[in-house]
Amino acid sequence: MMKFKDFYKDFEINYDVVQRASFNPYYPVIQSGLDESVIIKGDKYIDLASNNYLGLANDLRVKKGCIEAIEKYGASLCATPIASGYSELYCHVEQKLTNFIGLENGIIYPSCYQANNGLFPVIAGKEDIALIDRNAHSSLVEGVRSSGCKIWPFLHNNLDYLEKTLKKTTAYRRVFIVTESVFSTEGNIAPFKEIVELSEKYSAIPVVDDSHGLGVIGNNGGGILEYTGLNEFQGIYTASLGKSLANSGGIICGKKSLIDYLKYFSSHLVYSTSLNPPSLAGINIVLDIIEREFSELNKKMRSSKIKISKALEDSGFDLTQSITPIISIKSGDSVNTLALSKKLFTNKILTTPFIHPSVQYNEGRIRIIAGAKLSDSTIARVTDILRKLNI
Amino acid sequence: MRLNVIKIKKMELEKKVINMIKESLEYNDEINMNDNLVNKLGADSLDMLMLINTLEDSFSIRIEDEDLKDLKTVSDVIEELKVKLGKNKNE
Repeated sequence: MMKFKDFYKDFEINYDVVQRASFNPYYPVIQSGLDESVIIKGDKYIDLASNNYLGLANDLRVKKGCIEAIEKYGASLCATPIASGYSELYCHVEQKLTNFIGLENGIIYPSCYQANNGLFPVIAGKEDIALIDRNAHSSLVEGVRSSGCKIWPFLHNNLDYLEKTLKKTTAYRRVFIVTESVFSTEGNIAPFKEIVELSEKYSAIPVVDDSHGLGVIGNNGGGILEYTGLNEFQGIYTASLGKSLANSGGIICGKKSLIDYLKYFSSHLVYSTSLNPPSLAGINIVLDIIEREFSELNKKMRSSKIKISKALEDSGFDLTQSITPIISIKSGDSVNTLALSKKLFTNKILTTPFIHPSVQYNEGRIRIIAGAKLSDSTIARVTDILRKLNI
Repeated sequence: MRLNVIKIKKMELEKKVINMIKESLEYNDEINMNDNLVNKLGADSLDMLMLINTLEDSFSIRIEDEDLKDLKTVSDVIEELKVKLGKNKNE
């Protein structure tokens, strides 16, 4: 039996990669709100790291809405939604979001990670199988794992592999096809319309996480369902409310019967304190802004993305194929990835490096999100810096 | 003559498994028997799951979770497969 004093030795982190790169980019302490720049250790860094796609996290109208909600409801209702944490505001935002996404019903969780982890143990079990894109977000993988169902990962966005595997699933009770819409580290989009067609052909249930699609793709920012024109989606939809929606929380949308069931049987919802009033109010205001201003914000996002991508390509960087605002630099192994991130950080640019196990071995990525908040002069500064970088 | 048949069958099995590893790991370079699945071929837990599912389905066998930790190289996978196939034959 292990001695108590040895227990904590198992949790000592190997900092070898960080030491070799002489840089630890994780847990930077931010001393400001999200503007074009953020302040770290008193210095300004251009924010190309956050998921603040539409630049609304620090918007005055959003902040005002959050303050008004605090004035009405206080900081928290200090209860789970099933108890006394389900406010009129909660109910209103849920309905408004569900309408915006275009589905029958929805329920807000404290985060999308909790939504994805709370969903699968309710809908899947030992007699079931989930085919999951091998690049899908960790929350989907962990959610599926925790359900105890059989897992068969499929090659990334590979419909032939998916169909070949679907043909082998006839012995299972329920078959799920699980994917992200916009892949968070690559910025590419799943062939979701085709995935839904395969779901129908093989009686599978499609589950999509639209965290990087909602408020980003589709003519009105409606996300993957609007982007693909899927008006009668019969599957299950999840999304983060902490990215383009610039607040926090997660949502699951779908058929009313399922959502009602989750409200009573999804532990991650039932036993978690409700999303707090300011976040709900913030989402409410952001949805109004998206409705009025998405076209303009989207134009700015796309324009920033094109300029930054061009500067990176001119400097010889190898980028993933992305038609979303995500720019992803292929940066090789973990040490190279951190070293490149350090170079950008030294030039006062904050980015997000992904190393194993977040991505596959030697397939490190530096993610840049070109948000709508970036002004022309900041973009010019960024592109100037990037063009002078030696790789 | 019989030795040759066994040798050909062994080679066919190795070739088949290597092709499955290449597909599951999307690995396009040459694969050798002693290659480590994780360190050399870059397999992570999902890749391994994809590979094990493919092997189980193609050879109608069951590889238990506890056996996974022993499958470090391409050769380990093939040896495990031979044991499982042998058992199936005897059953």
